[in-house]
Amino acid sequence: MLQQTEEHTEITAQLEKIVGKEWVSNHPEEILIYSYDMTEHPPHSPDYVIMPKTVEEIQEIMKVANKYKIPVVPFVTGANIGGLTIPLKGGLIVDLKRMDRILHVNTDDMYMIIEPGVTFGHVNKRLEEDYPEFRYCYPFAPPFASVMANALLGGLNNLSLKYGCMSEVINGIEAVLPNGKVVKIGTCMCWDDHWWGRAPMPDLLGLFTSWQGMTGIVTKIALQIWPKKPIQDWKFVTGNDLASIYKLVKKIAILDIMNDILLISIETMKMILGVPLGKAVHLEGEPRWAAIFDFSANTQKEYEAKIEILENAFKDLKKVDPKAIYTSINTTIKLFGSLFEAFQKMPMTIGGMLEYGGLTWVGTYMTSNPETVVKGVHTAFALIEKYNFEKCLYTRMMKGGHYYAFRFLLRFSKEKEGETERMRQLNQELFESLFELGAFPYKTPAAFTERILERCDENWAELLKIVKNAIDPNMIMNPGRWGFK
Amino acid sequence: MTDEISKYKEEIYSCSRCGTCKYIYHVYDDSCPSGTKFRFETFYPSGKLHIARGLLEGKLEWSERIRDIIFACPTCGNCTVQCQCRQHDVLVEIFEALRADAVSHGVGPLPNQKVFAESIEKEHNPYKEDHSHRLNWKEGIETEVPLKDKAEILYFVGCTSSYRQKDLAQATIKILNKIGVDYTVSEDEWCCGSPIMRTGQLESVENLVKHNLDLIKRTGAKKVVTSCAGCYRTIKIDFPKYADQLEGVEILHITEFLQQMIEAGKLQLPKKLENVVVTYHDPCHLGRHSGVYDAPRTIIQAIPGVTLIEMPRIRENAWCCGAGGGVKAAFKEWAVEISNERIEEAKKTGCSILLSACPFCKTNLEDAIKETNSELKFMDIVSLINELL
Repeated sequence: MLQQTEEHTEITAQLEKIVGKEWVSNHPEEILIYSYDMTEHPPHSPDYVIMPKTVEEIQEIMKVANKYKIPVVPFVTGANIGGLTIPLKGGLIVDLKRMDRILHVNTDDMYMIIEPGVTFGHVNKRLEEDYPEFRYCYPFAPPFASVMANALLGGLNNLSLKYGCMSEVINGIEAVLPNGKVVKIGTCMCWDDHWWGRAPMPDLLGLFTSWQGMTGIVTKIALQIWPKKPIQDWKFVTGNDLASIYKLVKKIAILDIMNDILLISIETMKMILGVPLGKAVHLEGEPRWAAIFDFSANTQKEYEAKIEILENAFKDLKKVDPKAIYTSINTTIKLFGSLFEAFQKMPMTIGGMLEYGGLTWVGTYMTSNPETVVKGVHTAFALIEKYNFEKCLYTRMMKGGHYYAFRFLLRFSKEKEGETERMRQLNQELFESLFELGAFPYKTPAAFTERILERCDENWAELLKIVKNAIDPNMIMNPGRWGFK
Repeated sequence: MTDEISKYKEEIYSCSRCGTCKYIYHVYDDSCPSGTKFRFETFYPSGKLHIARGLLEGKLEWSERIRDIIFACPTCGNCTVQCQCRQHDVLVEIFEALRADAVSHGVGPLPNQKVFAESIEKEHNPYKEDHSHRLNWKEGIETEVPLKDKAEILYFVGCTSSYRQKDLAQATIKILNKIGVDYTVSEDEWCCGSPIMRTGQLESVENLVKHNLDLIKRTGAKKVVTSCAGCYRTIKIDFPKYADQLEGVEILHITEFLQQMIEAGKLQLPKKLENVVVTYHDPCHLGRHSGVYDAPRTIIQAIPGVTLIEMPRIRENAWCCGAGGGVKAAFKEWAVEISNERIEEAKKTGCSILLSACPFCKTNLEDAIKETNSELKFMDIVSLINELL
């Protein structure tokens, strides 16, 4: 924390001058609320929370931060589940909620340009109202998470089977560098009205994706949108043998006929259904795993062909897992309740997941090799059982089966004494075990990066430092992450 | 001193700050007047829960800033609809508990809200008006106002209609007289207690509730009808928290009563309007707090010549007018700003009349119409019905 000095007063005055007094706070209430999120990651207080409205204001904030060497942490909703907006070294939380415009939707090249505060809900609304023939994609997250943050942090969502993590659908960005200069990346560097791609020029986007706000504040982003196909459907498969159902998932994934395939445990289904904390467990006689196939088609013939492929693959599963079940989403909704309508009404909030104060995960990307996936599940389940939490597996095939999103959604009570600390220990152990199997944590929490830096190619680590030093010599941007103090 | 919020500890800890309370679920329009205006996380419903948590854990101390945050909320209850988690039902209760604790701790309420309690204590109304003038709204009214000891129906006028929006009381009386029901009003009516309950000033609430319940019992009324959404919510929902439920007494908002009369064929509207487009604003205390959405719409649709065009945010998703929860008294400009947004929304329907059914909504929406020089006309449903009888 900054000490209450003359300098502190000076900084306050300068920040207030930039954005107006009502948009700067160093009151204990904001300092507390912005010091933690829903995860188990330890809290740390900012010195200020500031809410700019314009790029120019952010430029001025950066100049002040650089002058006084104050840490700067960009923030929109803090729902990243990596503890990434907890200001590990204090400083300024730059809450970007007020920058919430969808600036342009380009239907020729199919992209939208948005500001940081734009949420999935607002994108959905705008497209439904003004461009109903187009769609974006939605994560398993509340509707009011930031679309930009999801993309910059390499998040995943319901088109990840097709496109991979969401940083892969970024056409370009505008960002304010720590020195206050504005930089544009992608075709927009030449033309203000062309944001259609990042090739063919040296691609500098990687300076901002998965850097967790350590290289600047992104103020505009162009993201691809896609035509919405007239037929959309979901099929559910439940099974009892992990290796067999995973084989089905992989087989379908590589055919490039689905939008999304999830493989989850029965505990996750129960959590979605609102089973109370601690009660989402597998019971004798229940199916163990569920796969959800999300697909669309331009014609009835295309739709039927996809169904035929899926049903034939299911027949193969049935031979080795006779109790496996194949159902439509409507049957699933009838059997398990309207909460499963969530899959049809993205973006959505799953109350059962979020209503105990604490939610976390070890979320990783890893190989889609079947043996590794099965081993990963068994390893993780043993650890989760050791700590007596729920085995909520939530996995997703990525980019046509090129890799796999492998994670465990872990809800916990922040009210129960010691539970947060227990969750911290579990997550550290989960990370260590999965990392050994080749699983890399996305939205990488600070607690894991030390281990990664120990293991990684030393020249990679050196290059990381060179780049960071060049862009942010005073180390003001979100310090405390990836080894940068 | 966190006695009141301690009762809600489990619900307070349920909130993970997912943000779903911030906007209308699956519609994505703004839902929270406070968060929409002030934007810091603290001002959203989830932020207020985390302030409560900070107080419970001793990480925050009562301060003027906390007071300003927790009282900068019209307690419209929109968050109770949008929140998808188990604490959603009691969000307004938690905010009111926070306010009660703020008052116990000596930091609340805001100065202009203190007047409510002082005035109610002295004059039994929040407006510093002489209690003996409670029935002055009768002056000049060209119809009889019954002041009987006993009647089938007690018309509970409410302080706002008695002292500020007298035309609503007058219109209601004229309607009741034209229908010809056995009813009475009472000069011994006291404030229902809504202004002090909403602002955490609970000291004299029990006394008010007891007095008004005694009054109802004395009249032998089988129905209590009120044209005030605030009184309705308070008598129906809050009174039972402080005293035994009234046995065999139906509490009705005037719109529910008129709906009953229309359905029983006892209320016919002889005059008609000439192709008038109207829209309807759901008062929070009538709609979200009490679940009355259909009665006013049934009445509107029964009016010959009227077309009801709805705004995008209606029923449980209705945008608050901004007058509730003590906001009109403490944040005058912001209250009208909230109403301005509603007026803009109403104008987009192409209506010429904005209807509602609450004297607070009337005050604030008319203030916004005046401030923006809008050509839109506000009418309470009772005023319109009275004109058509």
